[in-house]
Amino acid sequence: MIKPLLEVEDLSVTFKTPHRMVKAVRDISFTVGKEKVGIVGESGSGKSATGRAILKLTPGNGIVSAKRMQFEEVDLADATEEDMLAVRGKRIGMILQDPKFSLDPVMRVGDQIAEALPPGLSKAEARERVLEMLESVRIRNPQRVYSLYPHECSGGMGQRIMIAMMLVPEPKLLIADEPTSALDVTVRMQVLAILDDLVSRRGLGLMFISHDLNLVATFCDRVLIMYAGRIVEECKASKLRQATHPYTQGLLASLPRIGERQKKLATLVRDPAWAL
Amino acid sequence: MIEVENLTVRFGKGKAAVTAVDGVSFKVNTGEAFGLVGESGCGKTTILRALAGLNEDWSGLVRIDGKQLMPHRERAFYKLVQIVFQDPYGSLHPRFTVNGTLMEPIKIHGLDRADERIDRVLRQVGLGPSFRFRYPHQLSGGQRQRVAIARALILEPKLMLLDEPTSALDVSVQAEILNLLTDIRDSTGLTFLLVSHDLAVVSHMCDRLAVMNQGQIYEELTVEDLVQRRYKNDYTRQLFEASLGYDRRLGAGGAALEDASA
Repeated sequence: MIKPLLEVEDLSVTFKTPHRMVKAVRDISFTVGKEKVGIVGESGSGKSATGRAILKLTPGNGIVSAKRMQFEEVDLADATEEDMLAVRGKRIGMILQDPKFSLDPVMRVGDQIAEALPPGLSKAEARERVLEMLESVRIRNPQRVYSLYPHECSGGMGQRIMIAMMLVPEPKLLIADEPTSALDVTVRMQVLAILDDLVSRRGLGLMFISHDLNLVATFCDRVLIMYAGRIVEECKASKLRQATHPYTQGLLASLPRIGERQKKLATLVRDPAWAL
Repeated sequence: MIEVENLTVRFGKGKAAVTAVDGVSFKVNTGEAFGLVGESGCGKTTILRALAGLNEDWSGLVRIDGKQLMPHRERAFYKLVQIVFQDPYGSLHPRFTVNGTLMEPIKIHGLDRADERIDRVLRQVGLGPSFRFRYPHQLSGGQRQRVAIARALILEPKLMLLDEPTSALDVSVQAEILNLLTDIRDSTGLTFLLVSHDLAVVSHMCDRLAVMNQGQIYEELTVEDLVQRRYKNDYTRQLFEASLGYDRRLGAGGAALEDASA
């Protein structure tokens, strides 16, 4: 078996609040190879906390512990802030939900992408590289888009610009946290196709965090289903409909579907035992 | 129940004017559930706000329950038409208890038997009287949306305008709220106008729907037609296919993606 890009063993994330300790992620283990791994769950299930913990971006009141978090030769669990500088953005990229909040509003998008380039390039070389990157995320008129400000870009374009920026340092692993939730459905397909191409062409590993079961089932290779900070089930994405855990089954049944008209939707009855 | 003819809403003046709703016409029968579907910025919420009287700056002809509407509404109108908003975190007053929120419409409309009405409506939305003196921050998102629905129901309206009532909620909570709305419609015969970006939600709740894009209605069809893929408009097809999940083919077909903001 090929060694996975990322191996996580017994990862926990706990947040200190004034009143109590909240365990957001509880002893989860998983691996990510050169594939699309979906992490699904409802709000508060710990899926985003997992993504952030890998990059050590957990907020100050959070405590991360893990038996092992191995990314290629780097042990993320023991990595210092200095070690992380060599990893974050360079070898593991991250795309967040809303490009409006991720881009600098007062800087031309082309110049923002250029910031991710290695130092020492001439202005003309840098511009050339940026235009290439914009083209690779299917922006049709890169020359024009280069000099736009974020407010002049649509949501779909903004997200493609974010992806272009993340790809400049050629990371091995991309953590995408709800990358298409803020986008319209028709644009969503195209952004997904770009991510899909990256995985198949560049051999990238993709951690795709989403609440959308339907999307994950059709887009990813493998799915981890999270509930109350635990991975309750792991399965091949194409087999998600045959999932066995009652939580996964309950979630799937509660989705309205076009063409399967029921009078009432099934509602999820939560079993406290799932959270144990 | 609703007749809309040539409704147009513009924002801004002169060169900067944007036509958000561009000559839209549709009818909703009494007791029907009608869906307005489209992506963000297509004008669906703008239509709802114009109907609800939240935006007085529109042109066209709107009749609700047989009466022609003027931009400014009388108090009686709000007894007839109520609205539920998308975000239950933003639409409830944070310093009002559930009781305070539900008291407002009762006071404004000078209704009697306040206690009885509040208890009944809280039961109707599945919360029960024990929730009456809680604040919004003591409620989950789904419970808040139930309070927002209770606030709309307490005036016993004939028409309920629903603006993405479940898109801020998790799918399991969405199912509960959609079931609640189905129950309410069954028991009261209310007319629903549901605005949503989610074709699956609209096809679950509605009898007919209109597909909107760029301020216009592209196509009006029954849910049955949608399910059987008897749509005529290419945009409806795109929405339909996209709602089925990811398909490599669709994404690849979008190589000529428009940089739409220009």
